[in-house]
Amino acid sequence: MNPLLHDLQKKQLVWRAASINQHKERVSTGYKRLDDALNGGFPTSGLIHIHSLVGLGEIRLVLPAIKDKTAHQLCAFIAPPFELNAEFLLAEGLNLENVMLIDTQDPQQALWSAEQCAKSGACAAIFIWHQKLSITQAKKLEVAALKGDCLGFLFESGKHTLNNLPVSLSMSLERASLRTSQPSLPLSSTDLSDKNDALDHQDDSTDEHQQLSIKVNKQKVGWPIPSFTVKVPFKAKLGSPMQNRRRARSNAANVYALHTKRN
Amino acid sequence: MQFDTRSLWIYLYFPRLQMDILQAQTDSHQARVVYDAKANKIVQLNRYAQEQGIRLGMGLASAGLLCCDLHVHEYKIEIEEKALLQLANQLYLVTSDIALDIPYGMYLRAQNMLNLYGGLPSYWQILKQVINRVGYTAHYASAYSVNVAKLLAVHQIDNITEDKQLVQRQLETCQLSKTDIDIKDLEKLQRIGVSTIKTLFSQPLSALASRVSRFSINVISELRGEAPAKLSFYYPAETYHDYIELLYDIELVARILPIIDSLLKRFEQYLLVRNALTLSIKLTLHLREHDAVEHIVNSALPIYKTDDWRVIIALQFEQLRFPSAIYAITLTCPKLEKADIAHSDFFAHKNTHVASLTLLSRLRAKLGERQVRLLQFRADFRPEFCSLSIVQNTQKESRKLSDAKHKYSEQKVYLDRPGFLLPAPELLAEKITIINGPERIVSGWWDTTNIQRDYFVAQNQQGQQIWVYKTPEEKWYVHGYFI
Repeated sequence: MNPLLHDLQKKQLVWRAASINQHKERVSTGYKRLDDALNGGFPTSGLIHIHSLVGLGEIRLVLPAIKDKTAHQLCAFIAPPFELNAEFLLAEGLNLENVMLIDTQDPQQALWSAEQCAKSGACAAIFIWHQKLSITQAKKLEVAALKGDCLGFLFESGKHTLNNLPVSLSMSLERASLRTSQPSLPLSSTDLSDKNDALDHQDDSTDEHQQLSIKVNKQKVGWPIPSFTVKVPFKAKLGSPMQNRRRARSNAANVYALHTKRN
Repeated sequence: MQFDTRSLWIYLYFPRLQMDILQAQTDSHQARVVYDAKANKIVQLNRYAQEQGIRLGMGLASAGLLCCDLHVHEYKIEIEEKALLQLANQLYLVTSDIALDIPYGMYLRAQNMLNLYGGLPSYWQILKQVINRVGYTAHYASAYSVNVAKLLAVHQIDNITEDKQLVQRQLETCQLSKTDIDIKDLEKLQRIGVSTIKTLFSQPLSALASRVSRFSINVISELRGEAPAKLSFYYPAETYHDYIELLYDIELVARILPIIDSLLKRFEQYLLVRNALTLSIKLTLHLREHDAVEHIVNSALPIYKTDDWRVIIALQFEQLRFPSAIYAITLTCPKLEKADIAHSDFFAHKNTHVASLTLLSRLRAKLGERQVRLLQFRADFRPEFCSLSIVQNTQKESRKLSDAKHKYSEQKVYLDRPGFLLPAPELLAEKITIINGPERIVSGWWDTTNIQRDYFVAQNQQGQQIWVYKTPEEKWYVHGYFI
């Protein structure tokens, strides 16, 4: 073999499909199907490009992977598009003392901060929201993240995103129910009088709202993977309590039965 | 402080300190004198002035007659005092007891250093290195009494010895006029036939006591080795202060940084020998036509290294513009931190605490204090009041925070709360599907922002899961995103 190639392979800079098992060090995502797709989980460090709209559960998808590390290390949110909710982060099990919020309007400053955070070695994870990251900027962040042993999550929601960014992993997220083109119940803000009727039809489809369809565009170790679904659950049991009661009234004998079932 | 009469002292005598400082700045071959205007005397002169025939103690007029292009500098005691202090500062690193004899000398107590350095010759070698480094003309002598050492040094004996008899012999060759004895008393002594050290010593002290002043008696008894000297020792300043005057005025930040660098290097040395660290330094930039500008540079973590400071300062100075040129810089450090030996495991967590504090100082220097924040949870039912973002996490706050967290983690069932909240709720303007709800929040009756809202988890046409609420007036608002 070419000695240079051999050298690169030894340093794990070149990946061969035959040696997929040599990259054992992965961070489990907490979602089994995602772990399977990514050969065991996220890489331990590097930039992860997530192409997703805001509000698909994209953060809940990645938080379990970094939860343990944030007990000792910082977790930086750089210029989030909206205000972060502390209650949410607590509920997700993050140590709030280690959550750092960088608030800047200037994209250049945001990128600079991201790079500093990534390479400092103090951050377990950084979250950046940035549109149209250039290849050089992405490479810079990727190198910084590898240097600082940090997971960088780059969220992009724009339609025209580059898919050739030099990142460790690139994924696209979509709501699974939209992919299957199941018609969702239209509910306009003006016409809500028949809301309760609409809720009645939700019984079987509550689970479906928690399904997220993930497509792996590219990953450093492994092949691109077409869409598959992962359940990113809500904390509470979905469905209106009213609706439960109504169902209980029809199905079960009395209210007590409902309580025992819940426990 | 008083000392016994048996310890060995060294006196360092700098006869032409101001001239040495002046000569160091310029290396022209011009006749230069330092002139004391009050006494109308030439007090210091360089070699070239001496070649022209100028002597010490001359008046300005006669010196001017002897040399046509004479450079005259006014004698300033402050310059010599500062130079002595600086030297004492450097000597303090190698020897402990230093007493300044302003304006031209200093006493060093050698006795207690002999054991440390293993004898006088090696101790003197170390001292000499420091003295040679500053490059002042120095004369020195050692003796078993402070005043004798001084007298010998003023006579330029330049001999460091432990031999008592040799010291005594050298002392007897000295002139009485160069001792500290009052001039009036010298005259009186002269009248009774005491004109040399030897004759002074042959008389009992009691015979002289009634003739000369108390001060002179003290000097004489000290010279004879019968009374201990009284000295107050030099203590280095607790706070660091360094002032540098620039050779030429500077307006550009890029130019000023290397000079700050050299200041920082000296500061690093200072901290290093003291095993100290610091959290903040103050840089004062003296401007030519405006008031001095002060910059306080903070670090979140105690540091001492020039490199660490350089990064922070460079970031902070990046956007600076100076209204006029800078002619001098002062670096002061109000408080030093003791460096503790870290007991942490070398490999645990890769020293992330240090790294995170370094990171924080770096970010704050570049973006500003207010841009880098920490989140805090406050127990309130109203979602917009749950999150507080704070600039600095103090001890007290963090305890409160962990209390809140503790309480919260006791809660077994978490409520669904969106990760992103809109800065202000917006009117719902799209078709949505209700996924979960309602959850009624009625709270805040105690202040002006009381609310009554029915919250729903909903999904819009793009699949985004949003948090919407309905007011009693049947108005629908979007309040957050489930991320």
